[in-house]
Amino acid sequence: MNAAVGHSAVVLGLVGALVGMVTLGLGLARGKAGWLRSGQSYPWLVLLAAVVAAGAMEHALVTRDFSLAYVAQNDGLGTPLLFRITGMWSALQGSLLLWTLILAGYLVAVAWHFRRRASDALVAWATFVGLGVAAFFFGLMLLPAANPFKTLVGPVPTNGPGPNPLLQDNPLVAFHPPMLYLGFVGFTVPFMFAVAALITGRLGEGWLVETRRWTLFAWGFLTLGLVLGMFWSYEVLGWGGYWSWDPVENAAFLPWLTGTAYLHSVMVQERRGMLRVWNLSLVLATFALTIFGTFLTRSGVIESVHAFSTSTVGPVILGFFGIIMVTGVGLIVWRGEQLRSPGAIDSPLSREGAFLANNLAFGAFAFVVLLGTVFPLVVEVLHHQSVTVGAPYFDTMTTPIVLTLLFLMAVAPALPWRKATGTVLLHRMRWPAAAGVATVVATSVAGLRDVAAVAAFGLGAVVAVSALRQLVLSARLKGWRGLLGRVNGGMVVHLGVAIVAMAIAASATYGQRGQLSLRPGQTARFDGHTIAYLGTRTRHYQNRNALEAELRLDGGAVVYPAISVFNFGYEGIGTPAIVSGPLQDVYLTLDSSPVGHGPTVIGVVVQPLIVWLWIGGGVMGLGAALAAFPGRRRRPTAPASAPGGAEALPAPALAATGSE
Amino acid sequence: MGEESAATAPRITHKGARRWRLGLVWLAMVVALGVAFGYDALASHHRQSLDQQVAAIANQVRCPSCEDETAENSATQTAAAVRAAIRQRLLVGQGQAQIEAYLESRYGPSILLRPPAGGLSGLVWVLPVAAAVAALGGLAVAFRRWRPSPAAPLSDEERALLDRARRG
Repeated sequence: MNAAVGHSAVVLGLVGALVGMVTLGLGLARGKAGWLRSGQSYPWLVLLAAVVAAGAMEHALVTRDFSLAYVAQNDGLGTPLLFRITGMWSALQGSLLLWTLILAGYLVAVAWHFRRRASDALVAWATFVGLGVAAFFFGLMLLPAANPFKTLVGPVPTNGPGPNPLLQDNPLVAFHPPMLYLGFVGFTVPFMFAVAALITGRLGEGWLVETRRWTLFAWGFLTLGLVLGMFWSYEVLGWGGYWSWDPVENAAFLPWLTGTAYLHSVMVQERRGMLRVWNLSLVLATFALTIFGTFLTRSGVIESVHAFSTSTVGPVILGFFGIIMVTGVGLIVWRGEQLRSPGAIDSPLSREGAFLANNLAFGAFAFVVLLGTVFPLVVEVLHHQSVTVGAPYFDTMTTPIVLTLLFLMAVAPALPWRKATGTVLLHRMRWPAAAGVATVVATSVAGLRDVAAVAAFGLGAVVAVSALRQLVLSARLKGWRGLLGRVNGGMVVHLGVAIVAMAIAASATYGQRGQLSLRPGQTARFDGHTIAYLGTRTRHYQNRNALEAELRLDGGAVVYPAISVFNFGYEGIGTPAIVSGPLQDVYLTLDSSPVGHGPTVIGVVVQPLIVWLWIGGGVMGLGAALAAFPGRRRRPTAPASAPGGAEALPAPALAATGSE
Repeated sequence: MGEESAATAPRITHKGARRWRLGLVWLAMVVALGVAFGYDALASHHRQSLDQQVAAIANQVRCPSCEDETAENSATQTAAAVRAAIRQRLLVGQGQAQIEAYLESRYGPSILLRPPAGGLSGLVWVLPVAAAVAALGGLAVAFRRWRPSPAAPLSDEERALLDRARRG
């Protein structure tokens, strides 16, 4: 029953998307506005199909309909309700349902937002492209390897293993993937409009302004999704870290890098009409990287903690990626002449100069991450050698890029458009620079010696004060409204980045880790903490049996790091116990259970400022939300307002462009 | 940024004195920064403890039985064996290169998380640098092409408009 309903819904989604494309295509070809308007109703049909399909899957998971292969593999009698619900995205087939559901939601939101412009060719083409993407994903689910509603042949099993233990260990799994998908899939919207602009030849700034908030929305959720992913890694995986340059983390990080570059360079285009090809390329790259990331995660080419399923859909996704790249690059080349802009950048020492440098740094960042991720694959295929490109490579290569980006974030907000003089810059930067110097001197006096980390603290302080300076100036003029709008919201994001950068520099450089072999009743000291081992206890949960170590930290509360054995004979997995504070986290793991009368091995990781990583991530999300609010609109007669650039900058910015 | 107005920008009067003061403040900051970083760089050459040396090498090596964890971060027994081997070899006076060569011969080249700089894998180090240099070069060419055209002189009418605007 679930299978029949779900399968029909997937077919309905595919047919709906295709018929919508045909309707819009014919309407565009024949210039019939009525057809274009009726074409806008197909996203609703696609959403209906996606909701029914996802609903059928959830119903099957919650009611444990083991006749479905997916449910039999990812659900079990012992699985708690929450993890039965999240089971929908614990393997490839189900996560495609989440993808289509979110994509259909975006398509309907676009159709609703532009409902009065349904007969506009730009909107029609954008919808056409969006329905095409939806058709691909619905079609993918009809392939045997990716079909979520495949039924089992033979007798229906009475129980299943449940999701991978790592996916039923922490409620975060209910938030991290949906947030990440909201970000990933959201980049489809700017892509749709970029392609539509290329096809219709309306290459001005119109499409940028139309999709500005959509991009920001997707970026904000991708940011939160990444931070939650780090949090999940820290809370669940038990190694004390939050980022391991795992191929799949990289796959999620890549669109964030190109998307962030785009959010900055787009301002140059709105303001000066320049960088059109570059911006289109960034939008194309961001969307293509989301598809490429899906290929990396879901094809099984790379083994990683995230490759929870392997399947044969790889070539199909890779083919789709190829189509996107060829189409996108082909369209840009085809429109090449029209994309030339007459403008010029006057001086490298200007806001637009800083944005160019920003894009160079983000481009280099993305290149390093992409190269490091695919390099082992390429070597394997071409030379049958195995090479590992791991964290030391990424750390070495990205540290200078990150420091460059921090420097740019520190200086750029103080740079006026067009051209700055040295005096203006030195005057505006005196307080931020003083904060940075004070931080460097203070950390040196405190005995910190790692040059890269101290540089990160110093630059982080400059970034923070530089952003605060802008916010204070803006708030003085406009009160609380001075915190809204792109520039000011962006400064809140910068503040969050400064916090994150300092937290990462601190925890990565000044962490201590060790292992303690203890017998019950023994106490050990580690990095200024006393850890008393009281003994072990066993606990039975619905889906697992846990062996928990009882540890008293610093004579205070007792905490219980555990090793859990899940039903169905999965390997035991560790669950850390974390004592968080504003200055330091103590992370305790049960590394090996006592054998006979032997000692128990307890892992200890002490890292500073970890909490600020999560706080900084939250501040970044808040900044993205503030940036999405419209700032005060400039008068259309204001001399610097380019067409469509109405919200590019708050009104008083005009004064600055000419000052000095 | 935009919110600079006459209030915060340097006044025309006493401009020279202000510039001097600003210059001195910056000079002092640069000196302080130089002293702090110089001291950090010089003082950081203290000897590492054995534990720190083991950690530094184990961080460059994959845990043999895991996918993506370093031998330092992993709690598995194979990782513990790697750490023990590193410690033992450090104690007999071997250096990082020797130890890594031993681990490579024992577990295969993919044990090293940092791809070697020579041979095919050297490309992974060289390509980003080459790309960055090419991009910087391209940008330099672009800036040369974007030579600003000399500003057209203002007409009297425009000058009057500007004056009125300045007075608000």
